[in-house]
Amino acid sequence: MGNDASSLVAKAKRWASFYGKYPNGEEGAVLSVPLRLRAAWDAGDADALAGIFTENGSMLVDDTQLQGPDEIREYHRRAFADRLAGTKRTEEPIEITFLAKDIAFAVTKGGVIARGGDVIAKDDVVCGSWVIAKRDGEWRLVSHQTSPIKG
Amino acid sequence: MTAVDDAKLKAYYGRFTSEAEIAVLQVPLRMVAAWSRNDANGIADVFTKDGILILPGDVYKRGRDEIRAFMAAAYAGPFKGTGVTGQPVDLRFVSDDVALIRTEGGILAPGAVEIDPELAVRSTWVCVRQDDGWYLAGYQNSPRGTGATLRW
Repeated sequence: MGNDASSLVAKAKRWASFYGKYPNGEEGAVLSVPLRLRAAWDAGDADALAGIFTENGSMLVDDTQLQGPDEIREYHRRAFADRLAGTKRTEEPIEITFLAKDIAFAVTKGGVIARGGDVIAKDDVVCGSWVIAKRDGEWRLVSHQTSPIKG
Repeated sequence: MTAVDDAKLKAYYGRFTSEAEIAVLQVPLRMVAAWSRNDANGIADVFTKDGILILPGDVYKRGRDEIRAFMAAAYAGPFKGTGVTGQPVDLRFVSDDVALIRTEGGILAPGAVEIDPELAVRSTWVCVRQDDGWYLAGYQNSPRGTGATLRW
C-alpha cells in the first residue's frame, strides 16, 4: 500500500471515530452536519461552512451572534484568515434526539484546538447544541450555539 | 389584566405579534413566571418530559426530574430570591410544531431591576408543540458580553 493510501486509511479510521455512539441510522445522518462543519472548519473553508446552514440558519460564535449564511460566510472568511487560522475542531456527540420526523436536536462536547496544538485546552471545552433539519432530502443546520464548560 | 400588564406584554412580544408567535412566546413567559416564584416544579414543567437544559459550567440536565432537582437546589442556594428576564430577539418556525426563540437576558440578583453584566446571557429556546401547548425541548444559554462570568 502506498503512502497516500496508508494516510487515507488512517484518516478514515479517525474520521469514523467522530460518529461516536451514533455511526449509523438517522442519528448518523444527523451527525453528518457537525462533521461537515468540522471538515469545513479544519479546511478553513468559509463557503463550505456557510453552505451547511439553512437559509435562516444561525450560529453563536463566542459572543457574536451570526444570522444567515451570508453573515456566517463573511465572519468565517475573515476569521479563518486571522484569529481562527490553523485552528481545528474537535467534538463528540453526547446526545441526539428527534423533535419531529425531520428535525433533530443534538448535543456535543468539544471545541476549538488552538493553532499548532493537538489537544483542546481544558478551558476551551464547550457544550454545543445543534438544531438540524432535513431540507429537500439533505440534513442542514438551523441553529448552533455553544456554552463554556470549564472556561 | 391591567393596562400596565398589557403594555408590558406588548413590549415583550415586540415584532413577534402573530397568534402563532405569541403562542410560542408563552414558553419563556412561563419560565419567567416560575422563576419569579423560585418554583422548581414550575421550571421543570415548562420542559418536555425529556427536555434538555444546558448552562455554562458543565450543567447538562435531561428530563423534568433532573431539572426539578437542579433548580430546587439552586433556589435553596445562591439563586434564592433571584429573578430572570429576557427579550426575544429572534423567533423562527422550523416546522408548524417546532420553533426556535433566541432571547437576550439574564438573571436578576435579589431586588435588582436590571441585569448586571456578570449575569447577562444569550439563550436559545427549542420549543415543540404538544397537544396542550408549547413546551421546551431544549434550552441553552451562553455568556453575553465579556463581563458575563456566571457559571453554574
